[in-house]
Amino acid sequence: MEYVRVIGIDRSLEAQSRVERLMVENEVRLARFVRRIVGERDAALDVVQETFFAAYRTLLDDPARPLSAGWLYKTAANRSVSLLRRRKFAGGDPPGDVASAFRLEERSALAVDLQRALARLAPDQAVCVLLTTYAGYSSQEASALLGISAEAVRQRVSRGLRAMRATMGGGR
Amino acid sequence: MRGHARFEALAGALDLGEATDDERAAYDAHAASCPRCTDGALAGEVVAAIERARDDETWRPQVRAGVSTAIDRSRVRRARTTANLLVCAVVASMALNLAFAEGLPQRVAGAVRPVIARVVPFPPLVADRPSPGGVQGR
Repeated sequence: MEYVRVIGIDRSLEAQSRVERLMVENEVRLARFVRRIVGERDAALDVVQETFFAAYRTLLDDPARPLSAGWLYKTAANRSVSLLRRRKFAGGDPPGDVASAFRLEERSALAVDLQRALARLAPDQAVCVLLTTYAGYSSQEASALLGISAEAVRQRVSRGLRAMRATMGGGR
Repeated sequence: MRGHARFEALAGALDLGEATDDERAAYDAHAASCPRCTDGALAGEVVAAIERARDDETWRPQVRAGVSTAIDRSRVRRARTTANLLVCAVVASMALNLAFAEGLPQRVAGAVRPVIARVVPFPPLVADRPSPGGVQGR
């Protein structure tokens, strides 16, 4: 048993058990949230798996740290934004392509319309809109997660929603 | 936050249903005179559409298997690294013990000393040198 403690297996098992509890409670909602940001299921699954693995690494380094759903949403949102920026830098997947990929996976016209509108937003606007409307956080909670002021969150939400309204109205 | 940006933030609060009555009144008064806000329409229908799309979502992803595999792999790697380090530490400790027991450090020092003396000829101490003016001090 001492050997197990020395090489850190007990800590690792405890961290894994906590991550599994977090996955049971959050995996579906988190993956759907990420999919709305990145536009496709495969990319969303990658981001969500990386997020839970990051949670495991964090708990391994600091077992006393309390990890909440908010931490998962913040980490997943940051990773999604990084993915979108890498895509943009690489010159691939313009918004139309992402919406097309979404259409193949989705039967609902409303969902496709929404995705087209979301894909045209700046990533930080999309994250604010989705955190507050899709994930159900208040602007205060979202501001704490993102490390910006509540006013900035509300401003991004306002701009994002108006841009989405223009895109969805124009698409009809 | 100043000027129009403040009212954009207020509009966001109204869209999210977080604004107070005073904030709503302030926004309405601004929207009546602001050319950028004259349509007065908030984006409540977009919020409703997002909520409807969320409630209609049927995709049920499973990420547990992938994460568990990654964690298992990481644990094996970590345990292997720790075990390797422990083995290396034990071997190094035994080697050092053996070396000291056999008097290896003394033998090495004895072999190296003449080489050092040849390679690094130390200059005479300052006190042994003649002073530049021939004056030894007062």
